[in-house]
Amino acid sequence: MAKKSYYAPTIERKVAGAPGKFATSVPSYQDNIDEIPIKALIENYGSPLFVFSEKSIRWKFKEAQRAFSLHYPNVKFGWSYKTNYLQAICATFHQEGAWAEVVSGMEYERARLLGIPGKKIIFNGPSKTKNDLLKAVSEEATINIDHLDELFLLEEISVELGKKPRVGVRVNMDTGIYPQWSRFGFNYENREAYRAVQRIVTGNKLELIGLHTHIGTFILEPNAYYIAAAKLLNLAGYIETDFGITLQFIDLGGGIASNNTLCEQYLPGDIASPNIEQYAEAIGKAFNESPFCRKNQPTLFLESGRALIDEAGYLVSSVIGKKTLVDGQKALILDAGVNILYTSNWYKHKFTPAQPITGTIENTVIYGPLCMNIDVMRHGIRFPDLKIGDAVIISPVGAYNVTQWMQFITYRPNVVLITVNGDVEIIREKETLKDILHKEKLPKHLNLS
Amino acid sequence: MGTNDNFKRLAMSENGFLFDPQTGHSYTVNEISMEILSCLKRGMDESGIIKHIMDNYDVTEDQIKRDYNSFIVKLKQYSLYEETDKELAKKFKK
Amino acid sequence: MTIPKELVIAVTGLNAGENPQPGVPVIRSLRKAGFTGKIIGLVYDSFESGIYAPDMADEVYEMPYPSEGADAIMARLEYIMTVHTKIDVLVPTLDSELLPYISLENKLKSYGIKMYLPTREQFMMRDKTELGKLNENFGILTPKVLLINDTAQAYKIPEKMTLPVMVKGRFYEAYKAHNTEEITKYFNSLRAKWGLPIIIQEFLAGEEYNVSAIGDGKGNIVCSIPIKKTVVTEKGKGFAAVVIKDATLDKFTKNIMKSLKWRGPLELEILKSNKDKQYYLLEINPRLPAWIGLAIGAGQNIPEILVKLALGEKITPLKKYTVGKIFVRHSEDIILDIATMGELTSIGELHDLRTKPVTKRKSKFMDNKGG
Ligand SMILES: Cc1ncc(COP(=O)(O)O)c(C=O)c1O
Repeated sequence: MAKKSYYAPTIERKVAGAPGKFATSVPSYQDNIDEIPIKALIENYGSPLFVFSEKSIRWKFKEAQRAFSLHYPNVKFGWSYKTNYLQAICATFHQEGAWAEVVSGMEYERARLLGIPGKKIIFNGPSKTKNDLLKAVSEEATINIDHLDELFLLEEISVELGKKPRVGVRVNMDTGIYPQWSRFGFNYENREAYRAVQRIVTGNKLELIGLHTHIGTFILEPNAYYIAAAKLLNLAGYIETDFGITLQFIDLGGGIASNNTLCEQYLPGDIASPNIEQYAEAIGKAFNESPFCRKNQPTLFLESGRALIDEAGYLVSSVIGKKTLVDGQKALILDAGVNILYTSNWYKHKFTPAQPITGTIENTVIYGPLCMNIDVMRHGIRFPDLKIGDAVIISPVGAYNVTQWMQFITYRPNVVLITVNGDVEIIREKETLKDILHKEKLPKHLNLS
Repeated sequence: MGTNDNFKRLAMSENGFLFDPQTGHSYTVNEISMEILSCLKRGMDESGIIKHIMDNYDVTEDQIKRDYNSFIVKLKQYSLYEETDKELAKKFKK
Repeated sequence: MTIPKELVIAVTGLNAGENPQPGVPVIRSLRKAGFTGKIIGLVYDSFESGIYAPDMADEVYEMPYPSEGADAIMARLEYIMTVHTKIDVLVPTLDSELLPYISLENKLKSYGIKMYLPTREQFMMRDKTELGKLNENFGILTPKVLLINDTAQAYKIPEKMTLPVMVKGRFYEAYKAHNTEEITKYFNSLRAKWGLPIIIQEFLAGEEYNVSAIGDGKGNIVCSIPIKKTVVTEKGKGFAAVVIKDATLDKFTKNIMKSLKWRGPLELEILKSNKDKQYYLLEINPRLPAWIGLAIGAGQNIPEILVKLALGEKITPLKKYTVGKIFVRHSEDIILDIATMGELTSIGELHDLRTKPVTKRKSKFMDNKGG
């Protein structure tokens, strides 16, 4: 007689009002990404493994482009490098027509190395050094000024190079969302932004070409963009009438939510997050209502990061151990930890088994492999019993993880891209001890050998 | 030490619902757990139960041993099972 | 015309205990309308008391929580439809279910399941965090609202609003708080359950009224019953109420429907302020209320109309109802064997509930040691 299929024994105490067996979904499994079997990915590239889908990056970019141009055709995206600056990812966005949006000298260098001319780089952030700015000014990048000292520095450079920097003014404002990001740029409501413009005009050393804002991140309220756009356009109107300067662009930054689920959210992100059309509609409305826009048709810049890349990224990880905690809860130990999944700090990521599910669904805590108490990938979810060596897919993880990850106690894993043609390409190799020791120096007197 | 047979008083339904008439608690279990509990009720010991499961299900000895032990840990947490002195002694002699 | 008995109607929210949900009175109303076909209950746990009440659903199925997302709900419905029964009309009755079901509307339609729900935009407009905009956009008075995301903001509330204030969760629950300590206490408990932001609403003294109505999506009211709750529990649940008639209130309701072009059922919570005698819209619940049984008593079977609208029937708006009807909530203990509840717990479904009442079912333990 053929043996019956086996799954691990479980027992759960029922509490009044506790979720029933079906109250949480029996997660379905997903054994491939873009038709490449997870098993093959792990065999060839190891586990854990970051996987990006070129198809979904391009699809999402086209979606966003289409959604916004429907409402306002003169729209241009600047790829937010900090969200994911692996060269292959940036190059994909650039091929789709995005400019580069950078916030440091290092990111600027990265964009130049990929062949992006200064003219197609938007340089943001509070930390631009004199050297960074010298280069950016001479290459005619667009520089959004964060604070007065930067403004003065740019005026100095203008004299030094005999070349007028092309600048925008970064503005912060109340758009009704919380927290209000007020630490970057000049405030709108107290007229600090207007005074910065005045200062630029009287100094006559900078070429003022636009206004910039980035109202926050993971903004769930499309109307906040309507307010932001309306305020910037209003200011642009004043700049035109008061100083005779017609701005060329209005940059609304990033912040559009991806389909991830915030730890604080009850409904999952794919239902709770507005879709990109709703943001486009809100921004389009402000642009189409503005007399300044009707007259001048300025370029609408967007620097969306997470909304464009989050869903294109997956982290494949394997079960290395299981245990029962003292409170009876099940725990799974994965080979990927919070050091490479930084976003687990604020997201409840989706965990999907990568093979058919046989075991019973139980309350499960998912831990990473770090020998650290904080290494919790996911608190109490209903999850099927997996076997050692089984794989899970964690998603969406495309935004911020491969830039904010930390090397800690072991090597950061391979990152692969599944191309539009269905090929798998390594876009960042797994680290080796050599990579990590490469920059270390051992003083002679401490040499033990 | 205490008895090891609190699980004996559990009322079990075919579809994996257990009721403890002494404490009023109820539990849900899956098919393999039902098998193990029935074996325990019949007084089988660990090695007998493991063999029984291996004879009937597609599982390696290594796997079932591990799972059996964590299942027993759970029974203990719910005060449904305690090892007798004799069993403990046997364990530690090994 | 009565609803054809070949149809299968699914209803959610069968709790009728301390936290009453609309499912039980919805099913009662459909039965009173003469519907003899199959009704299935979609429940979240085995303690929803309506599962076991006599003459309720024919079958019940455990469902994934709304927080599991639309795909999980769809998968479970697909299971029910392929293995057990077709579904023709689905009536979600809980706030937290609505977005997932709204997002599934087209998909369910392709399976032949009809619903009569507001659009996503309408649903968002009535979100407690957005309600204030109805004032700006349509001149509908609403109490002042602040959204807070951390306790530091809670300490600043007295600078912005006079205490006491109402502290509300995004989906459910509301508490009156008299000082910042109370605000932070409720903030923490609501945040754990319903996430952020927490809604701080100006407390207005006055008389509260409720209206249950259905809108046709074009700005018209299909049916509507206004009531005054006469017994309200500590948790704010109405345990007795009376049907009233007030022309100003009717006008207020009409204006809301006209402004929002609401499609589907809703419950309005309206306050007549002591101070200025004006009507304020406190909340729009995008579903039938738990007291909907009173509507049929007053002469309008609102759940029946809802099902008919879902089926695409044309309904002439109902204008008449009987003032002065009341309800008094009465709860009763249902006695059954734990094994019956256990069956639901372990397999997630119960069948033949009307033909074989749970109160008459025998214990199903294999070895009858449970006695
Ligand atoms: C100036 C600027 N632009 C764009 C972004 C990208 O933001 P997001 O990923 O939320 O779209 C950021 C992120 O912080 C930013 O600071």
